[in-house]
Amino acid sequence: MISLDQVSKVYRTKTIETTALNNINLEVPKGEFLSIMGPSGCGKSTLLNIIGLLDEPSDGAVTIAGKQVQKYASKATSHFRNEKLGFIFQSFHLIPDLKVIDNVELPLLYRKHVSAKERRRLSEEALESVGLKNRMNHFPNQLSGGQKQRVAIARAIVGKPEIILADEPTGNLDSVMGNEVMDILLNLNKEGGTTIVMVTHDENMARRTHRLMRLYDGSQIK
Amino acid sequence: MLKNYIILAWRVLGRKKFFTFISLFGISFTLGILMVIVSFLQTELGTDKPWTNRDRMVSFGTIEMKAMVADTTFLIDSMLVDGAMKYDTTKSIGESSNSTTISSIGGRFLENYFTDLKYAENYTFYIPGVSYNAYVNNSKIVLDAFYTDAHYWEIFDFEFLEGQGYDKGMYERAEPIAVITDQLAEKYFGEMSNIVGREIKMDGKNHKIIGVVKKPRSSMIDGDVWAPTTLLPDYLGPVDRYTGGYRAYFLANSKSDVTNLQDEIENKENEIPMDVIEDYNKLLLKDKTGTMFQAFSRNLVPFNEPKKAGRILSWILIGFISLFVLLPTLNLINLNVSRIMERSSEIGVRKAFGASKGNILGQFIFENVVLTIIGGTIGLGLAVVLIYFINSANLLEFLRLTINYKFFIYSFIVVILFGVLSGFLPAYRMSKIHIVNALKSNKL
Repeated sequence: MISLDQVSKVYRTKTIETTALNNINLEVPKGEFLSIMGPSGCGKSTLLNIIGLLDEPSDGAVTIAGKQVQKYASKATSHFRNEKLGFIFQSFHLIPDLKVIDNVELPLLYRKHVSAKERRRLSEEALESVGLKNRMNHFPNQLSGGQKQRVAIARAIVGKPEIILADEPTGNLDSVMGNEVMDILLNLNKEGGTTIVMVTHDENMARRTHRLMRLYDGSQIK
Repeated sequence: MLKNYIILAWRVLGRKKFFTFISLFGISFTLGILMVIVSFLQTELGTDKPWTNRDRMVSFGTIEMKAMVADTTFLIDSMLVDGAMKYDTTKSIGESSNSTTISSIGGRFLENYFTDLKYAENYTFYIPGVSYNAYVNNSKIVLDAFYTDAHYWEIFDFEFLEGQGYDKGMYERAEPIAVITDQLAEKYFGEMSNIVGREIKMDGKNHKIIGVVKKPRSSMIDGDVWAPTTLLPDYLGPVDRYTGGYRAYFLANSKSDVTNLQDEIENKENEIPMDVIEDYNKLLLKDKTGTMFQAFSRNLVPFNEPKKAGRILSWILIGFISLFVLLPTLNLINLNVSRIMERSSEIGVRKAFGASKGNILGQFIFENVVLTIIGGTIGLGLAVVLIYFINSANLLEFLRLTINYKFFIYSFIVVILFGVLSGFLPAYRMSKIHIVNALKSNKL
């Protein structure tokens, strides 16, 4: 489902060259739940951004859902991201001016041929699956952290993507809320067969996934 | 999608109340003031009654005569050539004027030379602004009387509330008749209906009223009462005089003939014989008006030649209006930059979930257009209130301003355009921002 071949990412300024990722090879089969761990600044988020087509590798090839990605800043890539990928961020990134339901609907706005009615139905369904349908007319600032992240999960799954990329989804939550969120993700993976790649700092969370990949200074630890 | 944008735009405006207020104030104030200015220009220049034919009118009201004398100048240069003084003389022959007279125009002069212009289908010669005192219930009313021919009522399209103007027969028979305004009727008779048939005393003579017109909204022909010129003794003046108290209005055959008519009148200046006039040998017609706009321009810019004045004033106006519109646009661009910057992580999220550059651009421009449309609507309201105030407080004496809805539509288009323009630049910059960087600015 996800294939990275000799992927490197180097940040260059006039005076300094920083290697964020060094020759990463990664295969994630369909239906796997992979967690990535490592100290801060080791390149975890950069790797996730590259898998999510948000960032471009300096070197190497990225193949997602059988398609090798060529041009990153194109309309086709935007569509591809919209159809195949769902994102969950550490700090939720909900839009404060939109109601919960409208936040969840967001990915469908950029999808062609989905009627308003259909968008609404799918969004309610997604909220139902994270147990927040009763909160759909609230605004994000009326929710707790755990609830916000569940809304963010609903937003990530509303378009039924094949891959979900989660960047420290429990990082801002206490252990109870963190576990709730983790349960939802595990369930998505198990029931829906969604491929999930999750960056985390939490050893306990990582242990609940299928596979753990460790990064140190941009390199994979075997 | 659109509904989503509208909801978001509305919420964003509500959240940033101060920004919204400043923007709305700029837009609505600009538009409101522009509407009042246009309304004023339209009332002064427009083709409301009685100026229905204004775009075909050409007029002049002053004659200038000069005595030109041959003027010979000798210039003598001296210089040293090979140590000896040499002289070089130059003689130039020119003309200079040694006396000038400026006056209103004589009736006979107009009758003799201006009744057969090729490009004019009609003309009227009249004496404007003769003041009389009238007394009603021991209080004095000053009447501003116009003495006119019968063509006057054909050229100026007055709105008659009662009766009509005088015809050629009445004019030639010098019947003691008059047309008055509704305003004078109220002052003089205390009422405005059933006025025709009554008499008004002017210059010690009774005039029978045959028509009542609505007081013209324009300041250019603001008389109170009109009567045939033939009622005045020796109304055309002596044969050997070109000066008098008249003004002339001509109606060009068509709009496109206005320039031809202006040229024809200019050419007449050289054809009119000057030998009957003692002391002067050159004639110029002044105080000309061309198109309504040129006429108006002459009052505002220091150029007597109507075509030139019109050109200059239109450039001044275009510059003024552009500046007036440019300032709030720049202000809005500036405000938008900071407003959109604050929402960069929203842009990051949208892009991560598949929004293209075009989607982001569209969203922010749309928000801006919503803002400008609201501002435009307030601006219209402001203009209506201002105009109502100006009218009811009689600030401009007899001018009655009206809202020009056609102009409103045009300026609304301009407003939307500047909504798009002022939204485009910041939105374009933000739509190009890298997703990773946008998401890092963690303001959501």
